[in-house]
Amino acid sequence: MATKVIMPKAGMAMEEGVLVAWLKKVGDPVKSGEAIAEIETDKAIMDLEAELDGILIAIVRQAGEHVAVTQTIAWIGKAGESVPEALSSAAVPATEGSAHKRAQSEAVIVAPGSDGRLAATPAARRLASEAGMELASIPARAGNPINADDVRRHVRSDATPLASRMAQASGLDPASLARGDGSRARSADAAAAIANAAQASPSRPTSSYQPPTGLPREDRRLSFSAIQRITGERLSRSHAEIPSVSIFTVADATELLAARERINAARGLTSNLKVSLNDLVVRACAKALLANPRANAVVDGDGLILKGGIHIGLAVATDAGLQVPTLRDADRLSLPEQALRSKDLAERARARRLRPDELEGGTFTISNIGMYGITSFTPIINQPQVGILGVGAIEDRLVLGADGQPVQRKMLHLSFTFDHRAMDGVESAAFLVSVKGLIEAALILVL
Amino acid sequence: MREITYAEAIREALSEEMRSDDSIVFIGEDIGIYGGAFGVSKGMLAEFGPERVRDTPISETAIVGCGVGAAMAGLRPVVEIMFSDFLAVAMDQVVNQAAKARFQFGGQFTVPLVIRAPSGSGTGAAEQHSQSLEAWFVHTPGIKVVTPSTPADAKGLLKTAIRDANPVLFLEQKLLYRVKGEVPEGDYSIPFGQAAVRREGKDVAVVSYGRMVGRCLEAAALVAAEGIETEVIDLRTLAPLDRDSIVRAAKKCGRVLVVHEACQTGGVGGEIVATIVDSEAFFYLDAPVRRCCGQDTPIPYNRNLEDSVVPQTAGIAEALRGLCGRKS
Repeated sequence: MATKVIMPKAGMAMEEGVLVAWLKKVGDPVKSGEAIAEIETDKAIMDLEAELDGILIAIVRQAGEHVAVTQTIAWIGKAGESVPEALSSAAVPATEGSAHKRAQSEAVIVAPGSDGRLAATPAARRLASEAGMELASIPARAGNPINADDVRRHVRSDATPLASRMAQASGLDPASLARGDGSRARSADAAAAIANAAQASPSRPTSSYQPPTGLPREDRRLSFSAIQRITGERLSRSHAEIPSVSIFTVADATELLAARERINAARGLTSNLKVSLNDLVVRACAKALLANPRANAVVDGDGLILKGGIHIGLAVATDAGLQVPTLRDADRLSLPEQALRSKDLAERARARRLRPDELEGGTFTISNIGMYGITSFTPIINQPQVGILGVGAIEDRLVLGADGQPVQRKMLHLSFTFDHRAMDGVESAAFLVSVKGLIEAALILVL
Repeated sequence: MREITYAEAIREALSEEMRSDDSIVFIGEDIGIYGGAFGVSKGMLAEFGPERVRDTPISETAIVGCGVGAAMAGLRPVVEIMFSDFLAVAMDQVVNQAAKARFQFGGQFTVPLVIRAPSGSGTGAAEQHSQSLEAWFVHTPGIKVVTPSTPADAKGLLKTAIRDANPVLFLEQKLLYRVKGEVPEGDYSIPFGQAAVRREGKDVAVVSYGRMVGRCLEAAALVAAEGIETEVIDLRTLAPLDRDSIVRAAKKCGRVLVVHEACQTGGVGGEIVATIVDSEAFFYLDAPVRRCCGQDTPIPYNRNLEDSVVPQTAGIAEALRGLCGRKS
């Protein structure tokens, strides 16, 4: 009996995942615990592991598809086993899928049986043979033999995407590029066809507007990644629901930066790992949260839960969008330990190799774009948390010193955006002033 | 065009032929005074007299044997078997005499005999009056088998049968006797071995004959509403069989359903399927060739059970959907 492989529910909030890539092909043997696909959850990319030994007999959903959790994406069985028909078709959800999406998702590559033969109708075999195509490369619907329509669908891509686009841009029907021998038309074929068409109609009337010469710049549409879509939904909800207020301050980080240099110089004797300014700011924030528990809280219906642990979310920009891994128990880590963990989390976030649990459980968030010279900004609160610290740039400023003479100081811009339902202005000020004070006290952060 | 019933069309064909050819005699049980068990020969005794319209004793062997002898002696007899089931009684005369004589005697004799026999279920007449036995005779070289599905075909095909120099089994469809249809007046004939396309389609072809053609057309209309275009082929004669039309339709559609009322096992449907897979149409098949046929059981007396063992419109439609990968 073939066993289905489903889109796992990797986190409490996960409702769907993206199939990033199949690591196994149909017909490949798989072992229990072996990675067979990469799945992108709302927060990370993770390996999907086989739960039993067998053969990957069918792939139901293709790479790039969004799949609701618990939906069937593939089948594992014995060699020569086929997918139970009723189940395979039931596995395709009718919800929010366009007809196109549905048709796409029904196509799976049929695995050869144990004798290496594929189930295909005579008509499919004839058409594939005429088109010079391997049957094994033609997707069919799960549980069904490859039929003539499957082959026609496959053959219809008679021009490469680039050739099709070139033809369309020149007003030619991509189908007109089709080669007699059944092979796909390529960009060179499209260019030749376009040149022919231009020769055939040299006096074609043109519009009075002459676009500038050179490469055309066309509109391009980018699809949101799963992370971007889900992040976007959450940001929108947060922005709409929370009456947020932002307050700003500037902390004198001169001493802290000097301390950091001494620390790193000392650490350089034993380790390559440097402590970053951000590590020190996170540390100041963790200590300030300990002293201001209302800022380390989550909204819970008509109340507030003051969280026992201090778990700080670190906003990390990645190619796929914003990721916020959680630095757990930030207030209890030694400075080197904290630096090491933060670096590891950030690196794995950028490689999209975080585990789902590393993206959950945050009680506060810090976002830092000061390294780009931004002095101040108001980040959006990461619900259900009540506050987010925005770390801006460091500016050299002349400040009046104790002796009344101007001195050069390194001033760090900070903003604190908070949920006004959870805290009022005085409480928020107390928190931000704590952060500022800890940064200016500098040495306490080393402890 | 005027409309007459299937029974009237048969009577008209027979009467027109008898008027124009004195060698035609009509022999059978209750065909004279009674006018035939299904009223086909009403009034014929009065027109043609007892010499040419002969009531017989209840002996199918005698009826067919008389017809075979008369045919060999130069007449063109048309004999009626009241129910095709009773052909079993006359099997030796049909299979060993009528079908063989011309071959057996090196062509010294021909047997221009027509055996008319009502066929099929649906009348609540149970096991011995409801069978569809065409496969027996299709399996007997030397005899032609005709299964008209419309009044117009009944008239045109009966004329061809009567004019044929060899024995023809003309299987009338009991349930069609009272069905009306357009029938041309005057003389015309329909050649054997030429199927009719009753409906054009491209997605799936139904090959059928006799009374089931009407149900196939009903089913085709049902699934047409769901976007399935069905081609309906009416074979009209089973021997000779229009293999070209079967192959053409199979190539055109790639999916074929064979429908007949006779039980499936050993039925004509098997030959139709074989014709397809044994031809170049094989390479155009995009689904297994399916049959929707009578169940392998005697026809039950109970009317509900009777309906349940022969193909009905809904079942044919379901088979069409299945072939086209649709689930209802």
